[in-house]
Amino acid sequence: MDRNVILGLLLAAAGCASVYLASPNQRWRVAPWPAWPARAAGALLLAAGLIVLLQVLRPAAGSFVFVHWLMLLLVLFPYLGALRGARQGTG
Amino acid sequence: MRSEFIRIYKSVHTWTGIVAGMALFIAFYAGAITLFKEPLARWATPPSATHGTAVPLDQAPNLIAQTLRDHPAAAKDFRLHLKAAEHLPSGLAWQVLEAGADDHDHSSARHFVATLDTGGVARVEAAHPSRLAEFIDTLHRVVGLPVDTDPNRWIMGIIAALYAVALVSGVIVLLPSLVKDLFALRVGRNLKRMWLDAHNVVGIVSLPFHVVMALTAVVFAYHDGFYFIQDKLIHDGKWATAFSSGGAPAKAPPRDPAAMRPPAELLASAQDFSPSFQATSLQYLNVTGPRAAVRVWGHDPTAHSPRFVGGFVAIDPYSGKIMNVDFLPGRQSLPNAIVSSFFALHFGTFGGTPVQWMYFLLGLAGAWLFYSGNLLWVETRRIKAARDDDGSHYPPAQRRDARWMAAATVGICLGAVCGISLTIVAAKWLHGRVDDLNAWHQVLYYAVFFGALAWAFGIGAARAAIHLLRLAAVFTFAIPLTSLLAWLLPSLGMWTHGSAATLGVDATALAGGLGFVWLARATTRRAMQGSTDSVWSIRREKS
Repeated sequence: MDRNVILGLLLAAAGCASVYLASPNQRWRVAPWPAWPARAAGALLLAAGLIVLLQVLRPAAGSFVFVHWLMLLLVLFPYLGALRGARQGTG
Repeated sequence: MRSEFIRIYKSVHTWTGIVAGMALFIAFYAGAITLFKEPLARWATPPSATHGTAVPLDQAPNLIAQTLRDHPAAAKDFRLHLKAAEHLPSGLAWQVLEAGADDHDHSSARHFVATLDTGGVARVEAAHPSRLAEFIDTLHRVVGLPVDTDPNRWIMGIIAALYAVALVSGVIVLLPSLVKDLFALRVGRNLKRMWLDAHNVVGIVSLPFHVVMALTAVVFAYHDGFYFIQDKLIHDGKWATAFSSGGAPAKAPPRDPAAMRPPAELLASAQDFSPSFQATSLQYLNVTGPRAAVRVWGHDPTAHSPRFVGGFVAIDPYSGKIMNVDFLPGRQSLPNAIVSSFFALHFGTFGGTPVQWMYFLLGLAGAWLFYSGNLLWVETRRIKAARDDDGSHYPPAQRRDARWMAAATVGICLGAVCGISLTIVAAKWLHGRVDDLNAWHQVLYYAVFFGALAWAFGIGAARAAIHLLRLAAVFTFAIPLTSLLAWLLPSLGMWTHGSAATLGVDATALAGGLGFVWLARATTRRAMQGSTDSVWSIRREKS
């Protein structure tokens, strides 16, 4: 796999994590990250991820990869949080 | 929005979801596996002298000339594969469809392979490719029905339309609390809330994925009808001739295939036209006729492909000129690229292997979306026990519709899971032991499917869920165990390929089996220790 694709996916994953951790419904930490700084950092990371993907993929393919990666991660993150909460008995 | 409207949309969402949900579970589970159709076909193909290697390009012209001399019928449509893989022939391949067969149903097609022997003489043999991957794809395409025919696709189209309505109505129901509950997944004593959150997280976050799937599935179901209407309204019934280039007269003398440009030259033309295009096969069409063409099929790793197997550039095999790039990934016109993007978004034909895995997981998440919707329906109709003075209670009888829905959900969904795993295992165990293995794939799948359904209704959802999850684990573990046994005991007559793609099938099945074990344990715990006033409990004593 192209290194830039990996980099783009990693940046987007960090952006998704940042956005998720800023949510009051996140279950990864005891308290959410400060909303606006975390969301701004998330937006920047997501933008950087998309830009990197578009360096190696054509616009349609790059944006499709980006959107599907976001959907997958943002589905998985709440489930990982619930799993962690269930194991710690915090619901 | 007024609450009465929300109630109406909730009702629409509930009933469209319930009607379509279980068929969609099968479509999504089988569809997730279909993402890896090629590795599965490779896994299921026994070692063969006529498969597994690619014919050297410099020998291809001789093979083509000899084959067409001895088998002129092949000139209509044959393929030269450029890559070596266990399921691909080491030469030319073509198929003859049964008269009157549906365009989409290739189950009755006879397959032939032409290879060169060591003396350079072409040998033609009938081939019997495994249709395992094709069968699972059929389950995906027609929501669990056995064959891909027009009526079955129309049924699929109705299910897909209900799915689209369920998506729209579900979003409307969620609108008032969308922002507040985004990413919420509250695990706790309120089971209805938990299933609702589990359902909503998948439904809302992956909504674009589902909207595309629903709309493209409707188009796939009724595309013949759309083309018919388009033909009548736009092309005055002359669709068949609307896009022909005129070209040579239809009664021109047969052309000599020996005069065709060699494959290496055709590939070079394609490569010159699109340097990032990676060719995988050459499909020769009507090569002795006036409108001969070669489609150079392949992928462009930087672009989206218009079809599941990639895209192609059409080349005149006699002049080497590019004839058509409408289906060439990365080089399409804007309108063609837009139309192709819908196919690509349904098939996941962009971004290579990482996107295949994304689609696989989103497909499984989709299957869970429908399963959890049914769990929510059952939970909503749960009859809770009234507490006695001392706080204890006897579990009340649950509603019959809730018990039946729970049994149907467990039987249909887990029956499909078990059936698919077993039919995969059968590809190796039954090869050479039965006359028509492809028929056995169907028989085994439906025997397990209907057996599971009967079992769920017979003993109740709570017990059946445990049994069927354990059975799913056993059948799914049997996939890599079969490969291991075949490797350790070659006398069994089975095989284990060493390619990464086929070992990936075993590794994925191993992970799937572990997942089913985990689910079976969690389900057992809930049935034994959870609240007794539920269809999911197998305890009936006072608690």
